[in-house]
Amino acid sequence: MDFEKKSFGFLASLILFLKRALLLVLYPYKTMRRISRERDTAQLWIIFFFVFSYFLIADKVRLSADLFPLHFIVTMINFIFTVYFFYFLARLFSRETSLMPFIFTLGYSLIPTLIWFFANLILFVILPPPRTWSLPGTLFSVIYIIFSISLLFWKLILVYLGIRFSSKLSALRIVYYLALYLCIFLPYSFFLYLMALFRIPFI
Amino acid sequence: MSISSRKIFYQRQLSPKFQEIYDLKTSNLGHWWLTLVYKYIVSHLKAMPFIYILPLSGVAAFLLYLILGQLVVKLVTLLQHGF
Repeated sequence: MDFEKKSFGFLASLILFLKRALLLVLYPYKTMRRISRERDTAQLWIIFFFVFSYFLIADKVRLSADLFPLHFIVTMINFIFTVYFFYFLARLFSRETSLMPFIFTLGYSLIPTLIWFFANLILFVILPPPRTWSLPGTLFSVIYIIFSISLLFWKLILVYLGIRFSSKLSALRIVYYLALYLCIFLPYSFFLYLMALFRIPFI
Repeated sequence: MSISSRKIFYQRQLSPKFQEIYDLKTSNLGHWWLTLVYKYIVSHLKAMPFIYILPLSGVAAFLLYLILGQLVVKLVTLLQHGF
């Protein structure tokens, strides 16, 4: 009975996660507002499961399967660092700010990143690089760049909305905080890149 | 609509909507012109943002292709290795 209840609960969370992932494409503002009030942690576990699966598959394709726990742990540390960074900055201005909206909104803003990395993984298998300066090669490159820039724009919108609804800060302050975050995060991610722990400073 | 049903309608439907609206302070970017531009952009990105994102990305990719030329192909090769 208990197992049945738990499995139905998980199924409901999975359906809600898929619905919200789709709604974030169509109505990011409304959906992010709802996500910032969410308390169902199963949805977060689903997102982290996708991150875990990505590293599991990607490290097998990259023939470095031993490194996948390390890559996953580093990604989770980055995520926790990002959440606490914006949470503490928001706490400076409002004592009523809570941590959970940051975890949920920034967790959901990992969806564009996951899509990009999964698509990149599939493309690597189907059409392995290097690309050439031929017509199909150039056409593929341009389409690939359109796809990457679109996801980057979407990611920026989701991160901005996530911080806005979680912190209730003004747009200008969020832009300052994002600039400060990038000042710290870009050198840090480059360092991780040199250590072969980070692939692209995009996540 | 009777007075009591109207009251219930306000309590159940409108009150949460008003709370949602006033939950966030309106953003002010310091200059009226900047605030106007910000509000114009945000109003278009609230729903169906990909209608604007896709053409913008297309223009950005085309400009990148014009500026970088063959380097675009090398950039894609580098990014493809970054999975």
